[in-house]
Order: sequence, then C-alpha cells, then structure tokens
Amino acid sequence: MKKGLGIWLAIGIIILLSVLAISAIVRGRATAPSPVAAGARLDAVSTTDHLLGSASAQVTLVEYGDFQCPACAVFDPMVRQLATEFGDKLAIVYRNFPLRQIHPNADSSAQAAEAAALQGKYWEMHALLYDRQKSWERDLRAKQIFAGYATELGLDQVKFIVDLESGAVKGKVEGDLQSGNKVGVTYTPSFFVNGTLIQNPTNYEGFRLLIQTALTQ
Amino acid sequence: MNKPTVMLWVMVAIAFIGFLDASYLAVEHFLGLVPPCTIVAGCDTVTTSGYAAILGIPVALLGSLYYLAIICCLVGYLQTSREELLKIFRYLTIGGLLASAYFVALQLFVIHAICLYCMVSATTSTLLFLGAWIMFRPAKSAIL
Repeated sequence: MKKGLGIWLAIGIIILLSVLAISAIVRGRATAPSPVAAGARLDAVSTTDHLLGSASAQVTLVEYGDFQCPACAVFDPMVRQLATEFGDKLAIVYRNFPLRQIHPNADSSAQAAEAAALQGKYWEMHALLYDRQKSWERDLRAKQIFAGYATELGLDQVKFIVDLESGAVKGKVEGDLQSGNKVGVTYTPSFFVNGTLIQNPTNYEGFRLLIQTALTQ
Repeated sequence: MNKPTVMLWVMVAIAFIGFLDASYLAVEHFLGLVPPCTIVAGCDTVTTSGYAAILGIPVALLGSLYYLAIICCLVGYLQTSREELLKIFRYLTIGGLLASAYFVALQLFVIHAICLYCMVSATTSTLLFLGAWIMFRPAKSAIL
C-alpha cells in the first residue's frame, strides 16, 4: 500500500512540476527579448510609409504585418486604440510583410491596401481588411471581394482594380517585405518601438505601458 | 519487470509526452498569448481558429485531461491489476483516436494549416490506441 501511495505521489509531483515548468517556459517566451539581425538598422520612416499620428512624434511604432495573419488581426484594434489614446505623441507606421508561403491572399490583400492608398483611403481599407479577414482569407476570389470593399469606401473601382495589379503597388509591397527581411523579421506582427524589436505584448494594457515607458525615456 | 509491465510503462511515457504537449497549448491559451504568424508553422491559424475550443473549453485542456486519465488508468492497473482499468484505458484510446482523426481532418481540409503540436498529440494518441488494442489485445470474451 505504501509503495502504491509513493508512486501516485511521485506521479502527482511530476505532473505538477511539469505544468509549472511549462507555464514558466511560456511566460519566459512572452517576456524574453527577441534576436534581431545583428547590425541591421530599421529603415527610417519615409514619405512612402503609411503613418498614423505625427511624423515628429517622440515615439515611433513600426509594425510589419500580414493582412491574412490571424495574430495581426488580433493586434490591429489594439494598434488603432494606441493611435487614439496617444494622438500626436506616437507615430504608427505599418509595413507589409506578406507570409506568402502560408497565406495565399497575403500579397493581394497588401496590394489592395496599397491601391486604396493611391486614392487616399489607406487606413480605411487597412481596417476593413483586418475586420473582415475571416470572410476573404481562404477565398479564391479575394480580389473581387477587395474590389467590393473599394466601392464601399467610395473609391473608383476601375482605378482600384488597375492599381491593385500595377507594378508600382507590387513594388511597394515587395520593398516593405525586403526592409523587414533586412532586419531579420521572421514573424507577424513584428513591432519595433523606436527602432528596437519588442516582444509582442499579451494585451492592450501591456502595449500601452510599453509606449508610455518609451515616452518617458 | 515482465514484458507487459514494461510495455505498460512505455504507454505511460507516451501518455506523458501527450500530456506535456497538450498542456503547453492549454497554458498558452489561458495566458492569453497570441501566437504570431511564422513561415514555418501554422499553429497561429489553428490555435486561433474557431475550432480551438468546444463550448468555451479549450481543446488543448480536454487533451491534457484525456492524457491524465490515461496515465491514471495505466498506473492504477499497474498497482492493482484491476482489469476494468485496462478496459477503460482501451475505450479511452478509441475516443482519443477519433478526436485526433477529426482534428487532423479539420487542419487539412477546413483550416488548411498544420500545427506541429497538434500533430504530436495525434501521434501519441494513435500510438496509445495501437498499444491498447494490439499489444494488450483483450480475450474475445473480455471485449464487452
């Protein structure tokens, strides 16, 4: 009986320790700094970038995102909330990092946002793409859906469709992707605060604190 | 230790691997972490999909409890030699295999993304099923 009890006790302790160790590993991963390509510097914010807030803000948040990435869709409302809360104190820049190997509509959605930008509705299309990600992510006719969004936003649909396939728009997406590759971006969303890659916060409060801290530095 | 006993402990070890794997995903779920999208894995798509929870209970937690139940049955049997525990283990592995088949099918045909952790769990539950029904094949009269 005693031997039996000992085995159950040992198993109980092993299970408990395992769960504690897993929690520690997961928490550690959430807070540990991530490696960035050594010596590489993030491209400075330029006029071709899409910017929310003021270009002269004390803190700059650069996001490398993929419109088809579910994690990016989770973070997007947080980023928009940051823009509302911090206003001109924070410059938010979004760059495309389409994970085309795993997301078939990553490129076309990025092109849709860039095509909308040519008609002055970048952020409106950006928000629409993330808000309705589930309705187009696996659709083979995603471009038609994007054209519908363009109409909804009051854009010239014909121009939008032409722009979406244009070399200039594709070049902008590719340029963003290359700038991310240069600094070692491997996942989306990747956020840089004042040029330094941060570990993605787990909630809005964590994100807010990060920006607040950067503002006081 | 005789051969069946060794095999039973091997089954316990496999169930423990499954437990660690499922617990990792469950902890990640409860800590509210959003796995980022990476080129090499589709866990982001799978674990944030609508299929990651059943009636609000994360599938990973159900997986952890399943493996824990398997461990308890096997260790209980090793301790007491009560045949009903081995019988419960056998039937549990059917449930595990069917659940794994369902989730692999979901990943392949519905979500169109593969999560490595889910595939590890599918492997361990398949091994447990094979172990339960091939190595510890019950006598025909003892099946029901």
